[in-house]
Amino acid sequence: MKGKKKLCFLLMLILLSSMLSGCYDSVEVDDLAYVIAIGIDKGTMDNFRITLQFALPLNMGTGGESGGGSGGEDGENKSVYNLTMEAPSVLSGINMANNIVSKQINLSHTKVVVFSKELALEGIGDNILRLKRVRALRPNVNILVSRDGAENFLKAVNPQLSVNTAKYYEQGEITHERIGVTKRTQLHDFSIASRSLGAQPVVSLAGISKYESSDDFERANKDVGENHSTFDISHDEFKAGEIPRVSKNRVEIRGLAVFNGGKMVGELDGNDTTFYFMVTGNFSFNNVTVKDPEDSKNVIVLTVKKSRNPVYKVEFRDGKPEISVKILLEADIAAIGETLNYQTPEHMDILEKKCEEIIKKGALDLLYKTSKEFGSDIFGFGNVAARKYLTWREWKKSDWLSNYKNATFNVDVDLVIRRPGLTVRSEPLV
Amino acid sequence: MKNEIVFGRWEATCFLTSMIGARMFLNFPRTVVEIAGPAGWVLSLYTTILVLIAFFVITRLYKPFEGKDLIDIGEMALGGFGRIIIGLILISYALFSLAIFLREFAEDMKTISYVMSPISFILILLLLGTVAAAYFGLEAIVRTAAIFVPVIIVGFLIIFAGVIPYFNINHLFPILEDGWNNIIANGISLMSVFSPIIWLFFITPYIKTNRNMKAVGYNALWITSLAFFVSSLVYILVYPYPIALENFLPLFHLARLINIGRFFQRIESMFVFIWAAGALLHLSSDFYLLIHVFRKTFRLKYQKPLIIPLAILIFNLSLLPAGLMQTIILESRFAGQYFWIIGFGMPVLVLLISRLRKKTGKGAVKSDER
Repeated sequence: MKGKKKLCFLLMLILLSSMLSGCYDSVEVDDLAYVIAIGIDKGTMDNFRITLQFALPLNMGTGGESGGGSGGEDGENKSVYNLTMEAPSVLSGINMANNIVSKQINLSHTKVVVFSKELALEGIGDNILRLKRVRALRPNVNILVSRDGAENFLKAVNPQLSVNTAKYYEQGEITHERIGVTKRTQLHDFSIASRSLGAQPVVSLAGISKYESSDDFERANKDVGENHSTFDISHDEFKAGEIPRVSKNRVEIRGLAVFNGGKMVGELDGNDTTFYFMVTGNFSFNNVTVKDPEDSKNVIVLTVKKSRNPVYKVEFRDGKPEISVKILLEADIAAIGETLNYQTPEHMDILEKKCEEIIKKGALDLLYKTSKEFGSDIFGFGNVAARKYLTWREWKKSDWLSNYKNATFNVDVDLVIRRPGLTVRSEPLV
Repeated sequence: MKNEIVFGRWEATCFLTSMIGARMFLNFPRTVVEIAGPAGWVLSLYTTILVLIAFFVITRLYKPFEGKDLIDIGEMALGGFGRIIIGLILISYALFSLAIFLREFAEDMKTISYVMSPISFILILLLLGTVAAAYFGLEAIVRTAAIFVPVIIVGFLIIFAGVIPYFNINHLFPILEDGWNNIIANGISLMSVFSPIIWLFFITPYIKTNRNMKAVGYNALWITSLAFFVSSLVYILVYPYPIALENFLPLFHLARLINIGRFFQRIESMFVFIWAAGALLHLSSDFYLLIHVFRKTFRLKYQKPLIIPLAILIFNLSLLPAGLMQTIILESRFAGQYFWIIGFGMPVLVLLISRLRKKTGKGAVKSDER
């Protein structure tokens, strides 16, 4: 009996010791090559030119001597490794890349997929659906459309305030959306909106700054000339790549690419994007600069926020949609110079009216642009119209997306200035 | 020495919940959208009403048979012939569901987690747990269910809460796909999802009284109906019709979306755990009841020697469909369409015959786990 127990004990020890070594075919974390961004351009030798941006974790961790940023002295992003190849599909490209890099390629930490504008204009809907169905790729990977090509964009990414490029993508998208000049569109969102009968997708616009030095600003200003926007919210009128600024990281994300199904049909600038958010109700906040109604030389900065969700009404007259939107906002005076005392309730009214006018005009222009120029219901008014139908069959028959071109709009803005900021009155300069 | 197994209402409720609720992990939210489009959640509510009515009728008919299981009642009504017929129907039902669900669970596991492993390896992995549970017996299975079912429920609540940012109320409109007819016509066949309620009439001897049986039945039906309703509603709120028809594992696709801040993401790993736990509970319970019914039908003295042969049989049966799609088609074409006849039709019929022939009686319980 004692012998049997000893034998059992020994057998158990032998069996358990085999577990200490782990699996024979296990894959360690450092055996994997993590792709943090994928760039897709139109190919010349094959269907697509695919750029895989790999994380170099060792470089990301140390930060370097320059004190934080991942960029080296020569302006190159040392925390990533870019590999570009041509292939018939993204997955074949990844397979090909496995012949080049020694580690197993892993997509589970991919943060962003960048499409070139050229490809987006031809249609990327099918590519996105295919990517959405790749098990290794998460459905909440963000999508960008680069005005300067996907490969160029990824090569120009050179974050200066973050040592981790993956974190730069992740944080950047959140921050940009918060100030209301771009939208985070994920694979999941695009796959739904591009096949919806009542809404169309938008994707953030990305680009590379066209300015090498600050001397270029003056030249560019002359080029813009008469086309310069007359909106008071003038600092917002740029698309990605157009912001007058100079820094080591030359990439920008600003504005939206408008889609009809899977095909890009137009672009919106930062200003339009802000109005887009106001109409859709996803507006967080934005500093709006308005000209002083009493003195056009002065400007007042208001921090505008969403007060409540917008109210939509969709009616049909002779089969054509009539869409009413009520935008509800509130604002604080963020900065005011020596000017009329807009902090007092009676003067606040003037400022509120002026601001309401600007927003109403901007929103209406945008609505008509999407309807007449793009023919794309990026606001999802169709989803509101769908409530008027009892069955899916009737709704499908109504062909909302084609009818959106015939829509007329009415916008009502209700903006209330709640707080005067840090001052209760303004004293003029002597 | 008399070895009597008795367990409480809570344990029995969890046991039954794990048996009925497993369909939620697989494809229930997609199935209701396939039938009723955006009104899948309405169909789920309608089926709940039908199931509760059917269960009410069964419990009324069951009154004079306190503590008896369905095979005993069949034998009282129709003699040995009744016992064999009911037994064979139930054995076929259990064999079919076990083989299909085992294959589906294994295929799904392979798709989402064990991508490189051969399907037979995953099948054996699941069957090992099932066989071990059958050796430990009903009491072990029931008590395990009482521990794990609440954990599984909490896991699902976390998943449902995590996808709230993706909710879009517009996805519910237009409310109907093609009129009310679809919903009314398909409500009865969807009752098949609740067909494992039949096993309640085999654990009645262990929960003693009719009052307990009623309470356990209603509790399990309420919990699973609520789970089915919430899962189908959440699914359609996140994935609009007709895109909702695409995902073959709806709840897994929901879990994959969760991304709250930079710290609360990749929740699907938790899903894999609760999903595997739920699958094992379901398969173990089903397998135990299969051998229990087999022994009872053929009046065998011992049931443990049946475990290995039946496990091998199920393993082979589960490998018969060529692939996952064939398994899903088999399940929806047979299990999804006709299992309500076994789950609700057969008890009503047996109880009616027995009552018409005035063969009633109460039973005592004895454990036969040898």
